[in-house]
Amino acid sequence: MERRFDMSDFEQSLKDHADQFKMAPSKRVWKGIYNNLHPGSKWPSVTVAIVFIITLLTVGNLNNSPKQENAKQIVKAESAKSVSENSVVKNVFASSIDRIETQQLTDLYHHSGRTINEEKFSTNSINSDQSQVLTYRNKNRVTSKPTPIPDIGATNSSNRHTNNNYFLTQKYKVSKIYDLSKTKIGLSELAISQNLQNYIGDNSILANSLHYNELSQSGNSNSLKPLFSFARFVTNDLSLVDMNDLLHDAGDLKEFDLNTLKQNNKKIKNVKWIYYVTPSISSAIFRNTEVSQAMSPNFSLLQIRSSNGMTYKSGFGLNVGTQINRRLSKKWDIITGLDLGYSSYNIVSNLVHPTFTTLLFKDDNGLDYSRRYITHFGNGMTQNKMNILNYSLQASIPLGLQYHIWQDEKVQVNLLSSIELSTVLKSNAYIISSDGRYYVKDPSLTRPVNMGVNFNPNVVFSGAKVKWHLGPIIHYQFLSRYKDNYVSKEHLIDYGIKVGISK
Amino acid sequence: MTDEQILQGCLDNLSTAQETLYNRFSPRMLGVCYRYARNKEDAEDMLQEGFIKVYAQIHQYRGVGALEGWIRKIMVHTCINVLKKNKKFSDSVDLIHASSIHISDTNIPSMMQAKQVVECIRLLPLGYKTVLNLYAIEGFSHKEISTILEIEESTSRSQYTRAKALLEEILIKKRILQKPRGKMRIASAFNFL
Repeated sequence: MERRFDMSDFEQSLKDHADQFKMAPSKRVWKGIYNNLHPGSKWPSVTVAIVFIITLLTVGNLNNSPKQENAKQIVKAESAKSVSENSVVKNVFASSIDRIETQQLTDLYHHSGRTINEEKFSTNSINSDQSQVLTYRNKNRVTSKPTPIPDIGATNSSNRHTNNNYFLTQKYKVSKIYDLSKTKIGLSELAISQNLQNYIGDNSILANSLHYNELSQSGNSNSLKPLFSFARFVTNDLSLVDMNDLLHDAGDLKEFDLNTLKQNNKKIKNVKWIYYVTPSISSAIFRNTEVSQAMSPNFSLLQIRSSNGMTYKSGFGLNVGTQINRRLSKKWDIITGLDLGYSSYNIVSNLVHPTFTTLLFKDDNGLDYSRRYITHFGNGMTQNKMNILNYSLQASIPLGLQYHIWQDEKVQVNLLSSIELSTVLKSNAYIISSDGRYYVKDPSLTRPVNMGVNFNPNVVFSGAKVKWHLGPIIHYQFLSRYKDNYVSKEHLIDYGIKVGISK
Repeated sequence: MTDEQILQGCLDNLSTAQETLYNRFSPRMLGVCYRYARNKEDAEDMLQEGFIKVYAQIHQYRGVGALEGWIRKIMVHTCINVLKKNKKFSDSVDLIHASSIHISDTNIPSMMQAKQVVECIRLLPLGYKTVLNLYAIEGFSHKEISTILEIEESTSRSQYTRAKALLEEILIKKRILQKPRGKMRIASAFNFL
């Protein structure tokens, strides 16, 4: 661009005036430029976002999974009431069959000199007069589609086996159990080859153990697919042995299962939700890096005057939220949750005529710079005193540990300590001018994200339906409410009583 | 920090140098962007985009001429590109339509002189004020303007002539200029400021 030299007076005047024109850009412009130039510096916000998401997922997982597991366990527990309808028995039955197949039957088959093909049905003669063994190993039974199996017991099979009443009685019982277990073990539909059908057709016991017609009438398949509701349990000896084992093992496994259930229930109880409210007395501790006689911790709940000249009184605070305890070990819990907290304190001020005052800051290089403000709040050292409320509303996510000091059936004593990441939802922060004579307010100085620590010894009382959590809590915000470029540091501190309730 | 130190810092991608450069030139550059934009928000967007280009292309600055002039050139081109991207020219260069624009007294707030002039320029239709900005203030020739805005050179001339007339009318109406007596040139009237 070459500047023209033929500019008229009008254009020159216009240019001169236009060139004098300046505007102050808003802060978002530099932030946008900075973020574009230094994208890596976004990591704090990204980290916070990731931590938040992980926390949510963890909370969601802890909240949902145990309930689903609990529902399954409840169903399991109900079914365990009856031996004949017990899932444990089903498992025992299946395991017994497996055991028979892998041990006894193998031995028997081997003894008979016949070849066993585990992928097909086969029969073997154990006792030449009445015992037949039929076995089938369906390695895919877990994935087989569960379909209704006709109840062998309902077919009045005993009428067809008049010469084997005991066996039929046993058969009825076991087949009943087995039918109930079909959804559990997935052995719902077994195909049999035509050769085997022919073979079985010659065998009265096996033939009556299979229900060709019922399945063929169901129309599920053109081929004949008899259901082997009881196919593995065909000899009196085996059935007697197995039934005994079955009933015996059922008791053991029932106990085992109930123990497992208890453990799972215990696991469920490892996650505890506590809803709490914490009324508190709030104040602040000031530290001024520019003041040589740095602020001594002369905190009191009454009116105090800090090293930087602020005179203030404690105010009211309130925290509400939910706390999630996750059992790590017998003595330790990890805790997290969500907290909404309000803290406030009162600055003693007085009204003055609007006047200019200055705040001193330090830039990133440690160099001083100042800003001028107009205010009508004095430092409270003259008449017309009034209070200015400095408050802060924050949402935070704590993360900490709880130690179980002592406990019995009714009472538990714990020590909880946590660190929390908070975001400021709303705040009102007046700060004292550098000459200590006025209070000014500049929201841009407020730090949007902060960190604090909690210390909360607590006692848990177990009631009839709920547990009460009670204990003092101290909350200290260890990052200043103001950004680092402001030389004076303010740390909020709350003393409260935490009252919580949980199931 | 001197310009050389700032330049070296920006070349080294130091945020302090970049911020110093920004703090030094952004108010004036925002004034430039504001003359082209519809409002301050748009102007700030242009400023942001322009400064990102400045930092990205700062290695191309050879030290010939003032740094401010180099930055200003980038800003102007950024503004024009933004306007062209938004296709504002196509529906705003109609001279007949522009001449019928009514400007009320209340549209111009009470401001300092420089801002008064800038606000009056901003009251012009987009095509007018763009040509006026480029020709009268930035010093482009009509040929350059025709290339930049992708319009005819004659169109640029006629738009500038009419823009100047309309601006004069606005300035007089807002009592920023005295109404010229007889054949008094507008430049003489401007000396009133």
